Parts: sequence; structure tokens; C-alpha cells
Amino acid sequence: MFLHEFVYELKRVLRQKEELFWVLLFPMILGTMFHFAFSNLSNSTEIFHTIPVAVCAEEKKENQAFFQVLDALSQTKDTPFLSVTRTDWETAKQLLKDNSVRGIFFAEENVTLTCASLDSSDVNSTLAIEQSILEAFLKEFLSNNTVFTKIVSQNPEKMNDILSLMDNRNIYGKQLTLTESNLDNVVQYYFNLIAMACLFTSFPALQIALKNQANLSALGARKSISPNSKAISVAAQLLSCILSQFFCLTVNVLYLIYILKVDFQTSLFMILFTCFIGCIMGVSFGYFIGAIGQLSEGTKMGILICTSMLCCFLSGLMINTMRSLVKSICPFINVINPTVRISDSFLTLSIYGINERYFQNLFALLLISVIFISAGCLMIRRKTYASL
Amino acid sequence: MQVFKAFLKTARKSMPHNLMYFFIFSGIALALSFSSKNPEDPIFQSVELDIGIIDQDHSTASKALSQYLNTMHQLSLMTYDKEAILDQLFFRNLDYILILPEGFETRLLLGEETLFETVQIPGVYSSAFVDEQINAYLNTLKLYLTADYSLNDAINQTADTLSQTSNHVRVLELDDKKSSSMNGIYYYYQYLPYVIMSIILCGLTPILTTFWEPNLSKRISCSSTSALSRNLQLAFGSIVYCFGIWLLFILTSCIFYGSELFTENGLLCIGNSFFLLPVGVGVSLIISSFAPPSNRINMYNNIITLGMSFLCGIFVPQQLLGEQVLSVSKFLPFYWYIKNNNLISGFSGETFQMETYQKNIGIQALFIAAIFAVALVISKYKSERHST
Repeated sequence: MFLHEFVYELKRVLRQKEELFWVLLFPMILGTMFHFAFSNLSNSTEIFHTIPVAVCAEEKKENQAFFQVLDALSQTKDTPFLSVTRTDWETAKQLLKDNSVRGIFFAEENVTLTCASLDSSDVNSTLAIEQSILEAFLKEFLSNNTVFTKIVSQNPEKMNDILSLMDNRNIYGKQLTLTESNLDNVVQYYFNLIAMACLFTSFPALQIALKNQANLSALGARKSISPNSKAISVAAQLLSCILSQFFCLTVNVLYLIYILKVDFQTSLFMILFTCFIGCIMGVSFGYFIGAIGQLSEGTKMGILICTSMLCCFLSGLMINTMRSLVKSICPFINVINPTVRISDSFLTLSIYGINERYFQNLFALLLISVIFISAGCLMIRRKTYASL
Repeated sequence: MQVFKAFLKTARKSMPHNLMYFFIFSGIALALSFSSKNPEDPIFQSVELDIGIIDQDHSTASKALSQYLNTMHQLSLMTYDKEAILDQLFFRNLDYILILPEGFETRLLLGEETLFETVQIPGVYSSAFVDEQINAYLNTLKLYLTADYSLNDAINQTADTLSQTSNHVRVLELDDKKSSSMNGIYYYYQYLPYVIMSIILCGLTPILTTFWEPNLSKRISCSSTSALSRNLQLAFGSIVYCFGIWLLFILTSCIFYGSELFTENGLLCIGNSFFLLPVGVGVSLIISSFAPPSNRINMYNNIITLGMSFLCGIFVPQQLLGEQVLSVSKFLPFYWYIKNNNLISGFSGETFQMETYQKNIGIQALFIAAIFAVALVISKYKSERHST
């Protein structure tokens, strides 16, 4: 009997194309869109690239010290700090206008930097930060010159010490590596995408609840008069649903990893294990909503979609800063939001590996699942219908 | 006009759904228009980042460095907590973490090279920028210390020297730089294709599908109304429906942006947006000719609108999309719409030229012709199959 119910639920799920679309195809389509849209995002907005600059100075009036520094900075290995174009003022202005250079150094006795004006919408753009880096570089050069002139005039015997210190462009900081992860936050869109797919597993689970209530569906009415144990029947259907949905999620995860080459920075097994727990949570959520009262299928579906999308929105599927914003306003929402729990599990795995926080997330998801399934069973069990 | 009346009655059914889209979109547009400020005077402003400081030394030197950074950035005092640090960096709540370890001042006075530790997002602009500023500060401070200044004097002189070198950056006003006061309008019209397409597909397609439903179609065919009259009434209904939606959005932008909309750029945006309507109607015609069930229309809507929005630069600016993505999106009408919007707004840095604007409109018109041709072919094929 258990096997019979199990197989029939599996067949039902596989034949419902709309349900399959939301769990199997929609995350793949959205993932593909994310891939196209975000694949170049970090590289064009965050990752440091050599800054192109123009340098102008009349012949024989060049500030030799500044030119030496520029030469040194444009000839380093890997990614040089600057790429220098020496030209006249008019050409430099045109280059600035075309955004071919980010600033113009006018390097005679006084060194100045000229940058293009920025719109208010550009204040945090890559161009703005490139201009700021050039300004910081100029500031360092000018302050060194000021200090040198000042000290040499006051204390000429210190000139050699000062010169040797100025020649060595020291790096005083040591970069700590606290994680193997590259902290690329674009991957969090994919974390939330899988979390969304986990919540969408609630759609077929909703049908299980509806198809087991005589007052909500004809199939429910037929089932109610059969002598089969309802507990075994529901358990078989839920288990079948969890496995079929987990299969869909696995296809999605494999697609993201092997076709779109998304780097989750953790093992495939751990991703799938987390998905499985997320799947249990999603299915239990759908079953719970389906068991509530006598609302129509459409209304219950509406509740499911709205709740799922709201959870995803608060978790950062649409706006990546949303989760931090919610944390600062009302952290409790993040504690109970299953999407946050699932995406945080992926985040924990990718940055810290398996740790206490990961297990806390899994425990929370399982607890939510137990509450939903228990509440759903309590609402559906021992229902009797009046003889009409 | 019975068919037209029936069309309007069916249209009323989708009103709540469309209103929901309408209000969400208006909300987004409002938020964006408030976030874009009026242009300010062209003075150079360095980028302000969020820096976390872990001061374990609590010395005069460490406090002076913190104070110096505080004049340029937003500083948050933190304690060393690996998870908190990495979380803040991952979600970009902080751009850089500076750890001033115990003995920082002693090491500085002893002239040691490694003075502090950092946790950074690897290889990004913000890290290079803050590194440059800290190095500039410490280099200057060390020069003073080398010249036998006392620590307090060296700190004071460093602060003075660095503040004196701030006036060497000039801002060049580019002649054809667009005013950012109209950014709200441009953002509004950037997101418009997604919403208009969604509303048309979710609203118009079910109405047209009703008339293509096989039984109803047969019933209408055997009535005294000629096929030509029926089709004309349906076409008229579609035009009224879509034009009404478009007008509603134009009116909303009028309310939000007032007279700015009636400038040359505003009118160009309106003109460009008009071409979204036939694209929406054409796609709607194609989908409805297959008479899909209502839940599948939502499926098609999501695939088409989200797909085109991600690929064509509605959600992520075209200039941040990869070249391969752009070469694919050139085969979609929204690409040319966004290209025109970028041209008007100057978002892509391109200089406005009327010929380019007209060329982009022309390409959109060709797409519209192609979409309608496909719709007619499908319709013809269906009707022929239907009559045999």
C-alpha cells in the first residue's frame, strides 16, 4: 500500500507540467539569466584593473621625480598600478572625455590632477574610486615632497635617511587570509536561487494536502471512503514528493555547477545534502498551507507564492543588500525566514566550511519542517464529514 | 460591437492583477527618482568607504591613524570575530578591515616594516584605495619620525601636511555631460519595458486566448458577425487596452516628474516607449494563438519578460554585460529600446545623435514587423488546420 501510494504520487508529480516548470525549469532559466547578467559584474565593477592616466608637461619643464615614480608604478609585474600615456593637454582632455583615461596629471614644477566631473549617480562608481585612488597617490607624492623640503631645510644631515626611506615604497600592511573563499558576493544570488527552488517544492506538496481532504477535492472524497490508513498514505506521498523534488533540485544544482560553472566553493555532496533538508522544509510548508481551513486551491496557491517570494525578497534574491538591511532592522525575521536559513547554510559552507552555524541552520530548517508537518497532520487527521 | 464589449468585460477580470503590477512599478520608480539628487558644484570628492577598525593597541599612533581615516571614510570600531568580519565583507557592509595589533606604536617607532594587518576582499579597487591612503599616512609619519620629531609632533605635522595637499585636484566639466536631475525619468523608462510587457502578457493574452479557445472560436465563427468584423473588433480592443496601459504609465511619469518630462529628452523617452506596445501585442498574439491554459501564460510571461530584461540590460546596465551576451541580445527588441534610453540619458557615455536614435527606432519597427508576421503565419496555419 505504501509503495502503491508512493509510485502514484511520483507519477502525478511527473505529469504535472506546471508544477515541474516552477521547480525544475524556472530556477534553471533564472540561473541562466543571472549567469548572463552577473558574469561580468564583479570584473567590471569591483576587481582592480590598471588605471589609465595621461601625463602632460612642457618639454624641459617636466617634474623628473614624478615621472620616475610614474615609470616605477607602470612597470610592475602582474597588474601594474598605472598605465601612462604621455601627450599634450588637448589630446589628454579628449582622452578624458572619451573615458580612455581616468585622470590627467599635469606634471611640471607643481603637479596637479584633473578628473572628469561625476554625476551624483556616479559617486560610488568604478570611475569615482579610480579617481580617488589617483588623488591618494598624488597626495602621497606631494606630501613626501613637502616633508622632504621641510626636513632638509631644518635638518640637512638627515637628507640621506629621508631619501633612502622615500626610495623604498614600503607596504606596511599584511593581508590576512581568513578564508579560502574569494568573497565574491554575486554567488549569493545563486544561493538564494536554490533556496527559492527549495521553497517552490511546496507547490506539489500543497496538492497532497488538497487531495486528501474530501471537502476540497473529488480525489480527497474518494480517498476518504477507502479503508487505507491515512497516515501511511500521507507519509508515502510526502516521501515520494520529497524525493521527486529533490531530484529536480539536483538537476538544477548540477546545471548551475557544471553548465553555468557557478563556483559554490564547497563540495557537491554538502550542497545536495543542504538541498535535501531545504526540500523537506519546502514540502512540509506546502503541506501545512494545503491543510489550513477550507480555502480554495487558488487562494492557497496565492498564499504559497506570496510567502515564498516575500521570503526570497527578504533574503536578497532581488536586492543583495536586503538581508543585511533586515538584520539591522528586525533580526528575528532572518532567524525564522527559511530562505535565509538555506542561503546562509550555503554561505557558511563556502566561507567557513562545516561548523556550528551550519548545523544551527539545518536544525532550524528541520524544526520548521517538524512544526509544519505536525500542524498539517493535526488539521487533517480524524476529519469527519456530515452525511448529506 | 459585441465582440469589443465582450473583450472589455474579459479585460476587467485581469484588472486587479494589472493594478498590482502598476503600483509595484510606480513604487520602484518613485524610490529611484528620490535617490537621484540634483547635480552639485563640480568639486572633487573622494569616495567614502566603510572601514572596520580593530584597534588592539589603543596607543597614540593607532588612534591618530584611526582619526585620519575617519576624516575620509565611515569607520566602525569592531572586535576580532572571524565570522562577523567575513560576513560584513561578503555582504559589502564593510569594504576593508584594518587590524592595528598590540605593539603597533612600538613597531612604528622601531622602524619595522610590517605594522598592521588587513582583511580585504581580494583584488578589488576599494582595498587598493585604502591601502594607498594608509601607506601615504604612514610614509609621511615615518619621514617625520626619521627626522627626529617626537611622536606627537610627527602626528600633528603629518595631519597638517596631508591636509595641505588636498587642493591639487581639478574637475573638468565635460561639455556634453548630461544633467543628472533627470535621472529619475531615465530609470523610470529603463524599467518600463519589463512592466509593460508583463502587464500586456498577463492581461491581454488571457483575453485573446478566450477568443481563441476552440469551442468559443467555433461558436463565434458560426454567428452572423463576419470574421473580418470580429478580428477588427479584437484588434481595436487590443489597441485600446494597450494604449490605456501605456497612457497610465505616461501619466504617472507626468505626476512624478512634471515639466521635466516635456523637455526634449523626456519626449524622446516617451516616443521610444511607444514602440514597446506593438512588441507586447505581437508577442501576446503569438502566445494566445496556441490557446494555453491560464497558469501557463504566467510561465511564458516569466520566461519572456525576465529573459529579455536580463539579457537586454534592463536589470543590469548594458555596459556591465559581457560582449557575448550583448551579441545575443542584439536579436531582441528591448536591446534597441535600452540602447536608445542610454543614448538619451548618457548612461553609456555615448553622445546623443538623432540619427542613431532614429536608427534604433527603425530596428525596433523591423522587429515589430517580424513579430507580427510570425503571429499572422501561426494564425493562418491554425485557421487552415481548424477548417480541415
